[in-house]
Amino acid sequence: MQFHSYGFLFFFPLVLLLVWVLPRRTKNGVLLIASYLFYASWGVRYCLVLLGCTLVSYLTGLLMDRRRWILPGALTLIFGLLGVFKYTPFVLSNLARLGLPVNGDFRIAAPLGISFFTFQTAGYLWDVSRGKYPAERNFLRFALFVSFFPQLLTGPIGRGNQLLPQYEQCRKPDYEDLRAGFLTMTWGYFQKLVIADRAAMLVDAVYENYTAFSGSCLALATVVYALQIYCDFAGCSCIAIGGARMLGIRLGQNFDAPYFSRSIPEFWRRWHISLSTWFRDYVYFPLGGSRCALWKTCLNVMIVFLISGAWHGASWGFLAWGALHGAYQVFGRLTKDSRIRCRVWLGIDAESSGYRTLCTLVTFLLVCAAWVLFRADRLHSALAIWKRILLDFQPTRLLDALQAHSLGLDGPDSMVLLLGAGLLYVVDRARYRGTELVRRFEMRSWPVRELMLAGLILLTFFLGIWGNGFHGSSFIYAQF
Amino acid sequence: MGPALSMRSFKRLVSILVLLALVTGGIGYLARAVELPTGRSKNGAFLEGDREYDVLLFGTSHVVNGFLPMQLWKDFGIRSYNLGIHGGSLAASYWALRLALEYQKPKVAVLDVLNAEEEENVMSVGLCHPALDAYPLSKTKIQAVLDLYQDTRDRTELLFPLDIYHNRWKEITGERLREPVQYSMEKGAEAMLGSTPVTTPEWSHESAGQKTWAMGYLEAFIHCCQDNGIIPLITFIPYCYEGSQERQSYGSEALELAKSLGAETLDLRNVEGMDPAGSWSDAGGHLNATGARKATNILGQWLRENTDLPDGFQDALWDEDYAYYRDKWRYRIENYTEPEQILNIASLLGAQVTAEIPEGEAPFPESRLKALGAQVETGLEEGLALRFTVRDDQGQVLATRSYRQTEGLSLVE
Repeated sequence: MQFHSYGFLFFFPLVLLLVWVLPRRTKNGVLLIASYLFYASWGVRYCLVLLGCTLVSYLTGLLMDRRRWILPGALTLIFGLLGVFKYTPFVLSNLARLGLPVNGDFRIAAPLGISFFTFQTAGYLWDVSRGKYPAERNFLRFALFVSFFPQLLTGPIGRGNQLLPQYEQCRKPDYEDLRAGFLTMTWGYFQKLVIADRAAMLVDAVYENYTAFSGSCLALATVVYALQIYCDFAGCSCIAIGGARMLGIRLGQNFDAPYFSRSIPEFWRRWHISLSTWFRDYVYFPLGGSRCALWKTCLNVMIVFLISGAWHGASWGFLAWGALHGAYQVFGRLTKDSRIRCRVWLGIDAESSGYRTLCTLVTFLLVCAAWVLFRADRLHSALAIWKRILLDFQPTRLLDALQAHSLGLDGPDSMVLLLGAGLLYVVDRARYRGTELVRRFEMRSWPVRELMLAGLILLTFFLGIWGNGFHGSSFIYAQF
Repeated sequence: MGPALSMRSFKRLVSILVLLALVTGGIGYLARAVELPTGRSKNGAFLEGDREYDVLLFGTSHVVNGFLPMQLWKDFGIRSYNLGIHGGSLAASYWALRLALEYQKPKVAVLDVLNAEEEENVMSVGLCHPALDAYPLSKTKIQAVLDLYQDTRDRTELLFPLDIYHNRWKEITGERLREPVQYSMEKGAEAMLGSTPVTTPEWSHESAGQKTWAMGYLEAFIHCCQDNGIIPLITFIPYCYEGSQERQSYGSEALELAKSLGAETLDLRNVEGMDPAGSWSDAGGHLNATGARKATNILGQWLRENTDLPDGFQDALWDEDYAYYRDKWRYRIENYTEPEQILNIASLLGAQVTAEIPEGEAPFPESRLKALGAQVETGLEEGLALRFTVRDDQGQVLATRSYRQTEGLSLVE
């Protein structure tokens, strides 16, 4: 049951109705049952993995006060679970390539969302062990903390001190929750169905046959992929955050206009915030963070980004993607002083709009260059795509392809994609300047507000890529 | 505090209601614009419910092209509607009957047995849309979809057609939004205006000797008719394309099965009046208007001789419908240019066509002209290859056309 399936469109209102009409004390029970039913729709056996992970972390949390040695064991078990499901086929296939007598074709279906709920429980255990907050004693609440269905498959990765008090409070959603949550969900569906899945048509057409396209077409497809993956994941997060809000639970923000960032570190403060902060708090800081020698800081950064790459998927492409982002950051740190001196020597004002725009543009291009590694099916394909972009650009072929609509999108679809991207730009620009979508929306008079919301729903309904035969893609981050 | 609270609640309620009204109204309005018009244009007139139908016609495109309700009324006073489905299976025809019975109870239900050889439902979902889209969601429609298709996605798009039609926004035009869907003036039939010579049809009257999955639905159709006091009439509209003999044998088997179940049968393959010359628009597959006229005539005679259907000539609404139908075809005969089109429309209008051809070998052979109902005269002046004069039953000239021979025939303005 995906967020954009008919099943979910029936399931979610039903859960909402139950939460609304049943007594407040039953809310956690209803949400827990709903969460397991939601997860069981992907396969009942996966629920056992989820339950096992929940039990291990719950008991570890309770027992950790007296037996501190239990933490490493529990973390090994949790990350071992993730490793077995996610990395076994990758490791075996590489060992087989090295000539070792192992089954290189071994495949195992990883439970969906395993990267998210294992990280959430591991974060909880680490916080409890550091005394940040006490272990949760109520199993029902803890099980809900691990399995809450809006965030189960694709996050945001929650923190115990944010979520557990909300489950304890067991608050019913009020009118503001419903309105704000519904608007956030609608915006998420718009991003996913209208922009991301339409962008996917162009990206798939070009990337799956990249040898037939010039560097300029591949460059355009890469920029469109940047749009696709952002709208896909941010859309999914909006649906999760909005859905949770409608159920009376507030999740943390996961994206904050990342493509307006003026540096790679800023990009990572705005992209997939729940994962970035998880790595910061549970890997980077424990390794020493930046309060150590420069070489050690750089090493810490590289470790964090290599793990981040591996978290996204078991392939050399993801590892290379993580390594490249790590390299960006290391290079940025090593050249920071020289770049500032150079700017001062050239007399450029760091606050001038031209300089800020240039920084945003350079950051965006660096991020796009890394997305090639993320999207290409293999590492050598990514290298070939880079080579074509740099050495075989041929801008006239891009114009020809656009005129001939040979990039997988016809004229009207290209126009919708462009308009959708324009709307996204307006919303994100406002967000970057500190105005949230919901706040911006609530500032309008009520007739305008209802008209805008109805317009957004109708646009999503009619312009969205959904339904039989339209091959809307699954949420990209669900596979991680 | 109290009044302020209730005022706030009232405002919220109004907001929600306004939003709901805007969304449902918007979806409803745009749904009309993006829907595939073929379904409602073909069967919408039947569903409107302001006309009475004594005979309903079911089957495949052979029925859609082969039985003409307006001719059935004009010549026999029989009020009928053609609910045939292009590419329709017998299963789809059975469900079409079930759905139709929710709107009208005819005295006779005609079913053609093409596709009796099928062992499973091979009818594509796309073909099923025109048959089902016009019907609102109902228990019977859900049963039909669940029975016909097993794939959840197929079922979804048939029960909720916006599932696929929403993506037709690219085709929305201002005209489309303003103008309603035009209903079929032919009462669901679609007369074909082409002509392909078929001189020696090969009939196969042998039965296949084997009951098929599709015949199960033939049985269900007959039982459904009998349960509702309707006369089931099972027909075999002739087709004789190359290699169709085996298929015909299943049709014959189906006719035998129908007889054994107490249904009436009518095999049009070699009955008097069903002259094969000039009757097909393609090579022995679908009847053209000239062929359909013959088939409809045979069906009308059979219905008049074997049933006591009421006299529909007195129905003023049908009189109006026929006048509209006649005027439309008259307009077309004045504007169409191909010889086959002229001859087929003349057949629909019951008009007299005089065709003049030159002495000797004519580019449009005399035998084809005669097969399509024209009176042929020779001695056309030099330089012309063919000339038509079409007159109505009052002798008034409806159209004249002259053709010169170039690579084919070209119209002389």
